[in-house]
Amino acid sequence: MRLGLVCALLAPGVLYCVAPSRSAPSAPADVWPVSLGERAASRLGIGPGDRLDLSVHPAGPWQAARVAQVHRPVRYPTEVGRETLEIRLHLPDLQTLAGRGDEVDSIVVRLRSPGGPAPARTGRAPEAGERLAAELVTRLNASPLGFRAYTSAELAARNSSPFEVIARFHRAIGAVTVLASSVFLVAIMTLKGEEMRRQVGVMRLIGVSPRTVVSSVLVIAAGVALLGSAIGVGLGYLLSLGINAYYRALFDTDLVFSRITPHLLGTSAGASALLGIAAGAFTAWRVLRQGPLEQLGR
Amino acid sequence: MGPILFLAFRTLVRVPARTALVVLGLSVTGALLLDMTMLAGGLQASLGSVLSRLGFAVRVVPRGTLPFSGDAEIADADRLAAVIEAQPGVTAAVPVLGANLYVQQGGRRFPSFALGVPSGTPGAYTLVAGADLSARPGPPSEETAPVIPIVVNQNMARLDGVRIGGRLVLSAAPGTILQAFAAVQTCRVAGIADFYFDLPTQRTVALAAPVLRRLLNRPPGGASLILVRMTDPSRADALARWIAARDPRVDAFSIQEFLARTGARLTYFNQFSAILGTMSAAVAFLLIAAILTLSVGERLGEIAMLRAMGFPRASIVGLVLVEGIALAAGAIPGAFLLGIAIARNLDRILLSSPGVPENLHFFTLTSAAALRTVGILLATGALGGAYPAAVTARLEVAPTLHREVVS
Repeated sequence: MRLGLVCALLAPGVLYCVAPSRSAPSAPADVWPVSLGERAASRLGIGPGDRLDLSVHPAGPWQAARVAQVHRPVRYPTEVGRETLEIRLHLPDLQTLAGRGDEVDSIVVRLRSPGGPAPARTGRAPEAGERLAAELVTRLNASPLGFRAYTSAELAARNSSPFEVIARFHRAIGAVTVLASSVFLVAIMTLKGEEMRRQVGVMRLIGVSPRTVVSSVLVIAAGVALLGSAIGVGLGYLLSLGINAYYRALFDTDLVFSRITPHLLGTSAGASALLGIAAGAFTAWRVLRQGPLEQLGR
Repeated sequence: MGPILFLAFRTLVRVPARTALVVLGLSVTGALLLDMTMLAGGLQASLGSVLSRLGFAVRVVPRGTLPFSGDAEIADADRLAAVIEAQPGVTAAVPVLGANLYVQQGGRRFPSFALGVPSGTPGAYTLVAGADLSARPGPPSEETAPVIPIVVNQNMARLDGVRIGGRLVLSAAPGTILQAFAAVQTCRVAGIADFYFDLPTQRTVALAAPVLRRLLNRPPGGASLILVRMTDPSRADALARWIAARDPRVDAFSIQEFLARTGARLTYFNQFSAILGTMSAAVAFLLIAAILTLSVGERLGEIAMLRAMGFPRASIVGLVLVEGIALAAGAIPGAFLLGIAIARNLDRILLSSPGVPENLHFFTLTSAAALRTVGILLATGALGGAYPAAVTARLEVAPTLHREVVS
């Protein structure tokens, strides 16, 4: 089988650990061992021990390789929509295949302080590790060799910017839906107010204070809003389950796409109650504008 | 139909506050619906519009890639371009090489995207000032090589102060030490151009393809992309099929095929718009159904009276349906005004995402999007009126009138 290696990853110098149950016999020196991503293995219909040919050009020249293992790539959120088939080779093999000498796309640096093992493994305060990394990055970027170094935190911040944009987009859409539901609530409460007109007229004629009338309208409005909010949370929970199930299957990933947090529930319930009270206040004002006899149609 | 329209109008204006509130609510949900129809395929429509403006009907790329999506090249692209150009209906086949270079101006060095194009006016950009690459090479600089004319993008002029006639040094090496081991070219800025797909702060230069190949130490004849211009773009699909069949190393796309390929990468926006658009329509439906049901409930006596006066059952049903459609129709102007205003803001948010070219838009108002929104809103109005219409259809005249009199 021939696979045109159009877009490949310059992998670390060693392959990932081979799962014992899926290990393959060691390949001859002229047949390179490779690790296939699950999607690539499934798409090509091959598994551990199978042979394949690799090339950086569709027309060749081709290099024989043997699948040493099939791995499940850890996908970053930015990568889930991509259909790239992943294959990992030993770094010198890929450099030879691509004709790129000893060139690499990036170098990952693990730090160790002069007196002990890597900070990540000692449980020391993360600030110390970040300071160390920041100092090294400053020193590296001062060199005139023409590369750019980043700390892990900087890289994470750079890579997360599309998601921050999407989050802002979702917040803006959320604001529009809150506006729509507010108008919906006011419209419903207006109808409810018209329906209650006679009832309110009678209440006022028998001596019920306007304050009590207003309170009852407010309670009804807040109740309708909170009940709607509870139903909405239930529907949202079901929708969230569906979204996660669908997109996890679609992108073949374990990432969580939709999450309902306590903060979200609190915001939703609070906004609903506030909107309900506002709609109720508007309705009460409309109801109490008329006199009791007028409300009774006289 | 006349009496029905008259009665529907009178019914709606009889309770102006209620009608205004419903129309306002429908305007907001309709705006959201319009935004979602604009978002669904909006980026593709915007991309298609820019691509059509460029005038190239077919794009030829290394197999399995999209233009400039990697380092892959079509080897011997100049020859393939010559073969394509010999086909009937083809007016030009322009091989274009894309790569990253470093540009030095004075003591400053910045990364830049470089386009290697044939001399003349290839059409890969629009000149906004100065001259194109057809200008003859200038006098030699301190190096032995002549000064090469280049065209830069507007970001370079705006952000780096590059001016026409200014001297820039181009190299594939990122640093001054490595530059000693790489080819270096002194260039003169001949013109400033709009490059269509630039990112907001991207620097871009265009120069003669052979010079770029020399700077990158690449063999002659290769290109990242071949742009094909045709006299009759409707034959683009056939030409693309012919090219792909002739050369297994390449994929050839007409604009429609190219949009379909890129559309597969926009699943998120398409599905998001489908979900939110459906919910907007559902909210509009609930609003119309709730209001009309309550309204009909208040008017049962009046409706029974109309029936007693000889108004047919079908006309009463039609009256309620027309009320639903009229409410939806009344919301259309507000939905469009509000929707376009909201879309502008949402577009601005999404365009702030890194990696989005300046000339593209996520929300595009097309006639198809407008018609779909109007159609969905009117259909929602009719559907929202269906339940209360069914209530009126089942109404028994005598008992209803009796209840009205007694109450």
